[in-house]
Amino acid sequence: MAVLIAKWVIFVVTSLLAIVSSLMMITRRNTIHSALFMVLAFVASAILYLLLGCQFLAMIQIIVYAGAVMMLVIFVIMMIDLSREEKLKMKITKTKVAGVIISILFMLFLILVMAFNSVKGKMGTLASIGDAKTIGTLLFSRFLLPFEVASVLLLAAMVGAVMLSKKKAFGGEDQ
Amino acid sequence: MALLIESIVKVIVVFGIFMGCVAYLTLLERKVLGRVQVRYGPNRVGPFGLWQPIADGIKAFFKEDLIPANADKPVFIIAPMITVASALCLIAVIPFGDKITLFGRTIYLRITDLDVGILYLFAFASLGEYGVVLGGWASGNKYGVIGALRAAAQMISYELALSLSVIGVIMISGSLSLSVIVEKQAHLWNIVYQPFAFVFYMVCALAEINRTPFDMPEAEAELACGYNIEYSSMKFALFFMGEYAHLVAVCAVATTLFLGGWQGPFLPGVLWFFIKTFILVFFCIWERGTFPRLRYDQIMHFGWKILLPLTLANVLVTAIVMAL
Repeated sequence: MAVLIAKWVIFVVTSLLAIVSSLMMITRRNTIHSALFMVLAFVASAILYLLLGCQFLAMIQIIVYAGAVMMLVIFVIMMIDLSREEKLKMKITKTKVAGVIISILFMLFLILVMAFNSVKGKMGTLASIGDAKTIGTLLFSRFLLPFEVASVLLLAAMVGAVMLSKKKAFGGEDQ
Repeated sequence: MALLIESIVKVIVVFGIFMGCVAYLTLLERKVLGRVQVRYGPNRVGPFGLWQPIADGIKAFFKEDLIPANADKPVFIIAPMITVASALCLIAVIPFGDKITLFGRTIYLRITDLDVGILYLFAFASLGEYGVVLGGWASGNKYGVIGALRAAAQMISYELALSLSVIGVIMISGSLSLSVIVEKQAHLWNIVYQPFAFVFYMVCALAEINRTPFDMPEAEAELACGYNIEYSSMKFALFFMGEYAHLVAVCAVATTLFLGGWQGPFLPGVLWFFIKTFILVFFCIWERGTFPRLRYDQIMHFGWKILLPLTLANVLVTAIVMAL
């Protein structure tokens, strides 16, 4: 009983933390601050994974998203001078309106899906998904093709980034 | 209930010993560096300067705490805390001894045993990097920002090689749990199977904790202390503590992964663990007195073009040998 109550309290606190930090992330003017709130949101969702018994997923979430990806984002933000950007007044542009409409539609879509499909499942299968062994086995057997396709896609993106940043070295005479 | 009390007692004891080690590590480093440079090192406070860490702590505590006018205050205050907290969290999964029986209870000498212990270490090590990066950025100082940028770039580059160097050990042990890895080394230490991985790990670890010859983020000669340039008083001391705590933790992890952890003949396990960790820590101080600082582009070149392919090759060779 005590364990259940403790789990419930942790769930409520971390969910609130995730929601609040997501809201803070989109409302901050300072880009570094919003990046930091994003890290907090990632950490909160990692704790939610832990509550589901998915230790492996939780750790990967922190290493990849909270650690590596956000560190790269902060690295890029620090390179750019944002002082001018921060002084800009709120301006309503067409792209912003379109973005808001799409986001609202997407959220409605998510709510509808959640409302019409019950997300109840068996606890037994869920608990083993967070296991390193299970994920490895699944990635290399049932989901081998999507896994390979994703890795080729990532490789292509990486080569593309290198090509873009090395423009001069490749087309020396043209420029 | 008994489990809760046991855990709390373990946490307090480990925390106390760990922080004591960190405090006296500062003295050891100054003494050894002094001897390397043919000086005495601190010897004024108490016999052999033994009270020096306490004096330093009191001094840091009572100094004026300055926050620069154009600093980002909340981030400036949080940054040192992140550094210390993440370094302290690392020690939670390291097994420093076998089980003992006390008051009729079997007590395992580790705070906790996670199934994903190694990943936990990487997770908290990567979160700890935010302390240095944010501290430099939030100071609102050119040198601070350059130090932060260097720290971010260096850590991203060496984290890859660090994780790859450990993969070989994980493959041999077949587990991500640190206690299983230690138990598998009962007969032969992993350093025998993975000698190169151990060297790669130590090099990457030195880069990860910003230690000479990779101490680019705080290179005194060019950045005037880099990321911690605006920090004073206890906040500076927190950065300092975090750095040394990280050093001890990294050496303890190396002991666990490569040197058989607490395993050893004759002496009790905890003592073996301390001896092995101490040797690695001593090595880190010794090399600081020996090697000059590398140039920044050389560090990046070394990380991406030499260390990363070598660690990848190590993983490949280990996999081929294991498949045979």
